[in-house]
Order: sequence, then C-alpha cells, then structure tokens
Amino acid sequence: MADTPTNLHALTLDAIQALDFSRPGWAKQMDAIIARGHTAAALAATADRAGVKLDPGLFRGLSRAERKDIDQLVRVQRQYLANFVAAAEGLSEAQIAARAGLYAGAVRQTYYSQRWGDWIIPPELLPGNQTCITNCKCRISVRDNDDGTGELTREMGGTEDHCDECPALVGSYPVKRQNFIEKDFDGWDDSEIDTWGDETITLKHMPGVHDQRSHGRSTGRRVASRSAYSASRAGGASIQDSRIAAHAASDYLARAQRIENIIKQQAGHMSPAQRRSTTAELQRLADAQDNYLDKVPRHLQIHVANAIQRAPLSTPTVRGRADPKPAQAQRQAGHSQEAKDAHAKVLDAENAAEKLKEPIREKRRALYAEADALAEQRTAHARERFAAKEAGDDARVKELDKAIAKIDRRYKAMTVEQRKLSTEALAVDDNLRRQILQVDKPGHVELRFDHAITPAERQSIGGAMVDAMRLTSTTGLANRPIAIKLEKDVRAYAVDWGNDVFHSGQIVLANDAHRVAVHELGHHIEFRNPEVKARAAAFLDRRTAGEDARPLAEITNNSNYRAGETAQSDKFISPYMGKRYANGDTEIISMGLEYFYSDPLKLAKDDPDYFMFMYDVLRTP
Amino acid sequence: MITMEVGGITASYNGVEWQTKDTEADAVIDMLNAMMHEQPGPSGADPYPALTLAQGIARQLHGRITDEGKAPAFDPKVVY
Repeated sequence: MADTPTNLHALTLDAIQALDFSRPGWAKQMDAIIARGHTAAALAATADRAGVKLDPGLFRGLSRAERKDIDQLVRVQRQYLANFVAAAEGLSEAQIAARAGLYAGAVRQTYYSQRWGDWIIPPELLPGNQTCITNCKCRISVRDNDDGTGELTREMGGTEDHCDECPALVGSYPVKRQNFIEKDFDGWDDSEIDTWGDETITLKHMPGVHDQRSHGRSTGRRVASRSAYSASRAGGASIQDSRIAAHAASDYLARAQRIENIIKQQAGHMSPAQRRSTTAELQRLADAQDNYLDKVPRHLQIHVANAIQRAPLSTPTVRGRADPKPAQAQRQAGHSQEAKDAHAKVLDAENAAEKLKEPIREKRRALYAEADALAEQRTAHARERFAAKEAGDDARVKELDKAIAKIDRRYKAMTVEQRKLSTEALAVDDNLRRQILQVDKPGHVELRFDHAITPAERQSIGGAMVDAMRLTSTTGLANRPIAIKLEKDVRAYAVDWGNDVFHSGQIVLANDAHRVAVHELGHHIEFRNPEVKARAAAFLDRRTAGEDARPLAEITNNSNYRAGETAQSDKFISPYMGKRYANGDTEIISMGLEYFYSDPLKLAKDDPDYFMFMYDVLRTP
Repeated sequence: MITMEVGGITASYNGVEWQTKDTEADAVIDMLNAMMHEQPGPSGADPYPALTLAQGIARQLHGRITDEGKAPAFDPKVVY
C-alpha cells in the first residue's frame, strides 16, 4: 500500500486531471481541489504525527494559532495558483493540463512540513525543496530518541526520476524537537503536576507549540490521563507503565482536538460535497493509521482506549479531582454514602411532594369527570342532530349546533387547564430533582437536530435532555453530537454510530415526549461510557442472577413486544428494565434515567437498590 | 392508524396528531392532542406508545378504540 503523501498526491492529481481546461470555470474548480488537497495533507500529517486514527473523535478543539497555520498553508498555495491562472492565457490546453498536474505534487510538501512539524528540520532536507520541486518523491521520517533529540532519515523512492540533488541528501541526520523543555521532575511546578490518589503523575507541558492548557482545553486530557493512569495502576501496572498510558491518552486527545478544529476551520472554505469528499479521503488514509497505542504496553492498551473514549474533547465539564475510589472497589462496597443519603432525602421529601401534588390530582380528576360528562352530552347532541337533520327539523338542528358549540368552547378552556395542571405537576418533580438529585457539575451533550424538526420541538426535546443531563456528571457525551430526528409512527430508538465522523449516534423519536427522549439519551450515556456500561451490566447480572429470560410479550401481556424481546424481570418496577440486547447493551441506564427524570419518588420507594445504583453510576465521570 | 370514537366523533391518529373528518369538532381534537402530549407522557419502554396513550385517553373520556392500527416497525439492530 502506498504511503500517505503518495496517496494524497494521487488523489489530488486524479482530481486535477479530471478537469476540463477548455471550459471556463476550471480555475475555480482547481482552486477548490488545491484547498482540499492541502487541507487533507495537513490533517493527515497531523494525525500521523499524533499516531491517531482519523475517526469521529478527532473533530474538535484547536488553538487559533494552529488554525492560522493551516490557513496560511492553503493561502500560499492559492496564490501560486492565481499566478498560474494569470499566466495561462497564452498556453494551450495541453500545456495548461501538464502544468496544472505539477500542483498536485505540492501536497507532499505540505504533508511533510506538518508531519514533522514538532521537529526543527533543515529546509534543504524537506522533500520538494530541491530542484525537482513538486516532482520530488523522496521521503523523510524521524526516529524519536525520547530525550528531545531524534534522527531524521531521508530516502528516495525506487521509481522516481530524481534530480541531481536528491541522491546526495539520502542518509541520516540528527534533529531536535521544537520548544522542548528539559527539566528534571523535581523542577516542575504545581501547574505541571496532577495527582491521582496517593500517586503523582506528570503531564508534560510545552508552552507555545501545542499548548492546550493555555487555551483552557486541558480538561479532557487531564480526565483521560488520570483515568488511564488509575485504571492501569488498579490493574497492577508499574508506576512507569501507568505513566506511559497516561501520556498516551493525553497526547491522543491533544492532537485529536487540533485535527478537529483544523477540519472545522477549513470546512468554511468548502462546499458540502467537498467536505464529504475531504472527509472520505481522510478516512481512507486513516485506515492504516490506528497505531496510537503502539507505545503503550499491550496489557494497558484497553485502559488508554477507555480513558480516551470517556474524555471530553472540548467542553470542560469536570474539574478538580475525580473520586479517588477505584470503580471496582466501589462496586464491591455497594452503594455510596451519598447515594444512601439522597435516597433518605427523597423519601423524606415524598410526603411534601405528595401534599403538593394532591390538589393537582384533585383538579385533574374533576376535569376528567367534566370531560366525561361533556363527551356523553356531545354524543347525545350529535345523534339527535343527525336525526333532526334527517327529519328536516332545521330549528332543532340550529339549537343543537349551539349546544355542541358551547360544549366545544368548554373543551377548549379545559385544554388550557389540562396543560396548566401538567406543568404544575412537573414543577413539583423538577423541584425535587433540583434539590436532591442534580449534580454539581453537570455533563455536557451536544444535539444536532434534523432540519425538519420545528423550533418548538427542538426546545421541548432539547430542554428535557438538558434537564436530564443535570442529573449526571458523565463526560462521555461531550465528544461528538447526537443526531436527533423525528419520524412518524416510529418506536423511539437510539443508535451508536461508533466511529462516525460527525456524530456519536442518533436518537429517533416519534414526537417530543420528554420521558422517551430522556430514555434514549440514557442509552447514549451507556454507549459512550465504558465504565457506566460495565457497571450497568454488573448491576443487571446481580439483580437477575439465576433467573431465566422470558418474552416481554408474555411478562407484560402486551403483544406489541416482538418475539426476540426477552427480559429477566427480577422485581423491577418495569420488566423492561431487565431486558438485554445481544451486544451486551441493557436498559438499566435508560430506564433508570427516565425514572430519575420523571418519577424519582417511585424509583426511590419501590426499588431503593436501583435508585442508589443510579445515583452513583450517574456520577461516573 | 389508530381510530377512536369519542364525544360523537370518529378521530384518527396519524402518527403525529389526532384528526377528524368532522369539521365542527376542532375543540375535541384539540383536547385529544393536548392529552396525547400530556407530560411526562409514555415510557421509552413502551413498544407502541401511541396506542398506550390512545387507550388512556379513551378510558378517561369514555371513548373506545375501534382500530388499534399497526405497531411501529421493529429493528433488531437498534436499542429501544
């Protein structure tokens, strides 16, 4: 398989050669191709440098300086192109085509200048700076000595028609890292050191180049770093190996943030089709680049991968020290004291809430009784009107029309009352949630609504989900937005899109029903947070140990459940809580979040174990 | 499509809202739609939430479901 710059070169050249130079507008098309090719080269190089795969997690966060760098690269190339276009008037089509093709080779220069941008590389060694210019197909690579120095190797490809300069440049050269700070561990100040429990780990801080801290974007890295370190230590790894894992997680995220923002920045220059095309090219190139874990001992790689998946990329949502208790120990110890306290508070608040809700229930009962009576009256009037009309008794028809209209006016007024009562009942639960269940630092979720969803529906669905996010400090949803779509006659569902470039997954709803929306959000919390997923599975295992799964249609006497839908119903409030999916997903978090949001009292009263489990698990960072 | 008889009219739920051919029954339809979207609404666990809600409304208003319609499609590859 050809290397990345060769692929980029070929892709750009293909696009240029496909242009029709006899038609007006070729210059504009070529401008777009050049912009796309160099952007792709810069991004692919940055991904290679980071050792990360160009997956969906890469599309956020970047310093302005880095965006400016990429902009500058593209701007310079566009200027070359503008000069060429100005000079092209006197050339034949064949001459234009031949010269245009040379521009494709320049993406190799962009690639190499970015790929080894961390290193001080003499300009004469960069491919493309020799007399063969864009025809140069030489390669360079740098081996890191891990002490701020490295060894640059320049090679020639086997088939190129090289210039006279290139053969003489083949060989190895000592190089140094840009802005490398050589300091003993003891010389680091507090801002450069993070702690986990009783261990101390270091985060290498390089001011200036790639300085995410100074842009306030270090949170995700710190979370991932701590998480990878602690999980490794808990797994019995040495301090040194755990530090390597921590650095790998931190490094991955720092570079991922930059790549995301490069794409965001450059996306402004592109049409939607070009964005799709660029993304597709990058993804193809990324297929062979999944090597960011190479430096991490094999048995620790899972901890790094988990930490990266959980960490927020650009939205600081967790600050300070995380809970120092390893999750495993917490599971064994049962529910936390905080969960037990919250449970007691909810039960204490129950009486107060019930008292507040009782007048609402009373009004609602009266409203339904009146609606019931009106329905009977209206039915009678409608039948009588039909008979009167058949009999030609116009006076009676008119009289009945008036009576029906009066009932309808009352119906309208009742509709307003009905909505008001619902709002009041919700406010009681909202207050309860705010007082007891909300977390200090809520998690963050980004939603992308389908264009067909109305502003009112967006507000309704988004509002419910934001309220639900106040009940959890999970950070796993911050990485990529969730696509929200409404479909007619659908049973609401959630999908994990895994490595999709732009979205973490999708939620499809039939309407803006809040409980359902929050339920599906719960699935995404489980998708995106391996720790939550593991704990949900362990909770379900514990609760249903020794119990056989039975069809939900049979348990619930609801034939609308499909044949494959089975559950171990345990003593759950809803048998659906005991449902398992073939891939290991559960309904524990989705149903738990739904109850935390809509009826925490019921969960606290009827299933204290589940309530306390949810209280703890929703506080998993 | 779910169909219900209530208050002397026949109303149908098209997946989004209740409708009727009776042009003079707007108020009843408003009421049905308001009740359909009453918060907190159905559970995410419900395999056919529209029918559950319609049944609830029919019970409260002494109406009757005349056609339960068809349950939403099921996809084993997603989570509900």
